[in-house]
Amino acid sequence: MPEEDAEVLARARAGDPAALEVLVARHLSDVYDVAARVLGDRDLARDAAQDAFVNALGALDRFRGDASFRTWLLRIAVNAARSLARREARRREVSLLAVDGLPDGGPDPAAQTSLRAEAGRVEAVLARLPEKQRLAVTLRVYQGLSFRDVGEAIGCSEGAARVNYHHGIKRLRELLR
Amino acid sequence: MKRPCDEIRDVLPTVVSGRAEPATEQAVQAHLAGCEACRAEAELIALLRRHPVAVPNGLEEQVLLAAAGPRQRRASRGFLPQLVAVAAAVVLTVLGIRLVRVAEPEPSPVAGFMDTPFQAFGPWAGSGAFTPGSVVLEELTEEQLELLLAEMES
Repeated sequence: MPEEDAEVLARARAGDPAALEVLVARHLSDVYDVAARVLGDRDLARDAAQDAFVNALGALDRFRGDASFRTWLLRIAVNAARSLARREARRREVSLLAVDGLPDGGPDPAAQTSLRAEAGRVEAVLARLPEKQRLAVTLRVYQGLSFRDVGEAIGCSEGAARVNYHHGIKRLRELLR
Repeated sequence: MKRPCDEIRDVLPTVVSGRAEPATEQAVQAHLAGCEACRAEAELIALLRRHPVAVPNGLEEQVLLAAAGPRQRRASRGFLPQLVAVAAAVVLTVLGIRLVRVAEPEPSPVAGFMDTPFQAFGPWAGSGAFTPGSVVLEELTEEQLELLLAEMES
């Protein structure tokens, strides 16, 4: 049975480097996913993920446990990505995530091509959503956060998070039609 | 008051990801069987979930290095003054050894200079303090100075 975040956190706060490794290994894909969806740029997402972990692991003493550690970390990831986006002042109209690191379609080249095309399309339409809608969809669909936690992460109420999510899904359906 | 479709759509991501309670999943499946719009939304969510963003190679190591940096610097901050003190002690010790070597009346082929008692040189003699400088060198003959320099170089 995997060690609970709370136990790992206690060890990390005590300065155990192995505990930090566990936290990074456990949450890196989620943090990177959120950063990539906010920024639409693979290299910037790397930097944002790094910033998020440096900020979070450097502030473990300030984690009060009101939300889960994962929700707290994802909120920091959202903030790190937004901060980086502001600094870079880059437009995200066209996603640059496609091509590298996409899921493998198996040995069938036609299936791989089809899957890559589909992934590229998904990334492109997600990138066209307004930021809050994109984040609400990302945090709800990919990260499985509750609407309350989505609101906490993106800085709005639970109701606003729900509205942003449903508007985002509706828009995606229109774009993918 | 929420309509049935709204309630179903709220929980679709949980159901599609397989994290829903069995009772919730059954209720949603029953609804989807008769609601084309909600079924289309479930398919959309399944489509999105087929394409997570893959973590690039090397990022985990990069993050661990970056995260360890500030923590190590914080941890070593209290140790720094001790380190400086030790370094200063080493430098002073080395300097002291060099000064003593220059000043000690060791057996030397430089006749008449190294045989002369150390205290006999200069106005600071006998004070207990040692200030290396030109006073010593000025009292050497040119030949003695050359021999001394040759010995130091060897």
